[in-house]
Amino acid sequence: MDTGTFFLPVRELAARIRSRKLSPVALTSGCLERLETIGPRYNAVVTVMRDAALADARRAEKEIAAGRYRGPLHGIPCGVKDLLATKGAPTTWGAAPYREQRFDYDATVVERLRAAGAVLCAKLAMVELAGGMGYNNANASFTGPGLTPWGPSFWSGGSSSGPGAAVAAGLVPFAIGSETSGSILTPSAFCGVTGLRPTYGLVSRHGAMALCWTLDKLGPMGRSADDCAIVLSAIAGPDPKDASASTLGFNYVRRPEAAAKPLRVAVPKGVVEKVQPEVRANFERSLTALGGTIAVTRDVEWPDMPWGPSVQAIVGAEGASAFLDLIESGRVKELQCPKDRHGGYAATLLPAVDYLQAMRWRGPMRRAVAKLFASFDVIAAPTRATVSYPIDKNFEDVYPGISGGPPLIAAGNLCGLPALAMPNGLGENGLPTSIAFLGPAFSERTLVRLGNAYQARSDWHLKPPPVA
Amino acid sequence: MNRSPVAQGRRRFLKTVGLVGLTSTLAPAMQALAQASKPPDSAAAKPDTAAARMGATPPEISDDARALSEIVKRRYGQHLNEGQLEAVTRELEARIQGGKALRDARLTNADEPDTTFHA
Repeated sequence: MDTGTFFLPVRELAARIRSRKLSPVALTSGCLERLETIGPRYNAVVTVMRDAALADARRAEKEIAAGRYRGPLHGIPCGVKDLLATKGAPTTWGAAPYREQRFDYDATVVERLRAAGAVLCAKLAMVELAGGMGYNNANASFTGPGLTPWGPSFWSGGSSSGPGAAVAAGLVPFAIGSETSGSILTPSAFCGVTGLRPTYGLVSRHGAMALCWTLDKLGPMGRSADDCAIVLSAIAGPDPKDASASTLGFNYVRRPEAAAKPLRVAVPKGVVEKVQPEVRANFERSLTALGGTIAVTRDVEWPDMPWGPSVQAIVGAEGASAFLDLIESGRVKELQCPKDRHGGYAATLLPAVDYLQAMRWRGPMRRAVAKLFASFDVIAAPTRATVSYPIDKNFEDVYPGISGGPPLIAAGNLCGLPALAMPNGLGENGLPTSIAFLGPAFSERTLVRLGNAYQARSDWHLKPPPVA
Repeated sequence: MNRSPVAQGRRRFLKTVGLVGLTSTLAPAMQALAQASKPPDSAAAKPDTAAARMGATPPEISDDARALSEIVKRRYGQHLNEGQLEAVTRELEARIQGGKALRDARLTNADEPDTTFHA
């Protein structure tokens, strides 16, 4: 199979599969081979599900041949971050103490992907415990440091490191990642793929490793905004097994771009002043490319609130509670990153009052951000202030003096808001840069519309990294 | 609202510890759409700590942090070596400072935690 096929968007693959120009079995076989041969170069894969995937692909092929086409994910290979419970494979949470862990049920997201006909090929690598113990370098998983296919001495980002690298390297057309505070957006940026962090509650968390019950979200990482929307429409929706699941679903039909009122885009004050020069230049070029589809207002004041301390208190308290047995037993010493081996202990003494104060701040925070969204449809910023980090340094030792300004990742997560990250060029060391759009709760359609508009005017999302 | 220079310094430190990930974040917050609403100017590299480079002076370890560290030592000391305990003490200090920021007077009695109990 031509290598280019592995870098095609889901929509294009689906069209070929439906018209029987592309065999799901052949596509799945190719992805399995790439997962097995290229995956290890980037420490992107935990478990390849070869037999199960081939069986699913054969079933899909038969169904499609018999005229029972389920939709655009039917016969499409995929991977999931290894924090989703999956029958027939270990679910390791990226952490050595759990490397033999197995569940006898599928997470709701896995069930829904299977129902849509997607072919689950692999459990993908991740930062141990989704970063909940406070890791400070890339080597924070028992599968080794995640590497971006754009530069093998640079980090893939985390904590959804495997999904980012696997999509970027054309090992699978799309993957499912998770985000508590930045874990979909960051690897999307560092790996040059498109990532959609949904509104909190839009996608069921049932069967996903819990780190922070009030912050965790699952979402798609793929080639394009359009692909992410296709995947989101398959996995979103109510779920009685998750009390936090919304009653809303997400139906998506891509329509041709039509003349419409420009979307009002706010660029908060401080988001570009101290970022890397290429990040700033690519961000400005992206806004320019969108032309008349957006009306940009710059230097919008971001609400001054304790964003950082709030997310730290919530992650600290909920994470310490979720992994109390691991911390108290001392088995955290089996974790890979030295900081993770002691990072949970301080959090066990976090006062209940501090946690509740952080939770009380979330109301005023949501109201302050909602006030901004009364004047703007979307907030835009570089997804990350820098390109990826070299893997041989602690995070605090790279790129001194660089800052992204207002804490949009913390704020977006505290308020449960959706965000879309898209590649928008190359920066230092030929590594990808990325633009992010943040919208009000349940504004995924608007974000995808904007994403489609941008990606119709650029081809960064289609550029493969220099992989063999 | 009036804020004392000490309080402002503390706020700046807090924002900076968010930047350098002294406390837990899931994707590293540093240099991203990061934790500082008013990013401090970069400073000289001495002392060579990330907080110093970002323009904030790391605070002394408070007596409260030392006291909490003793509790950690009593409860979990068998799992931690001296260097790790010192790191835990610094994390406790950062969490104490974070807690102070969360006690900002702007919250009112009507601001309930953003969780709802259902009977």
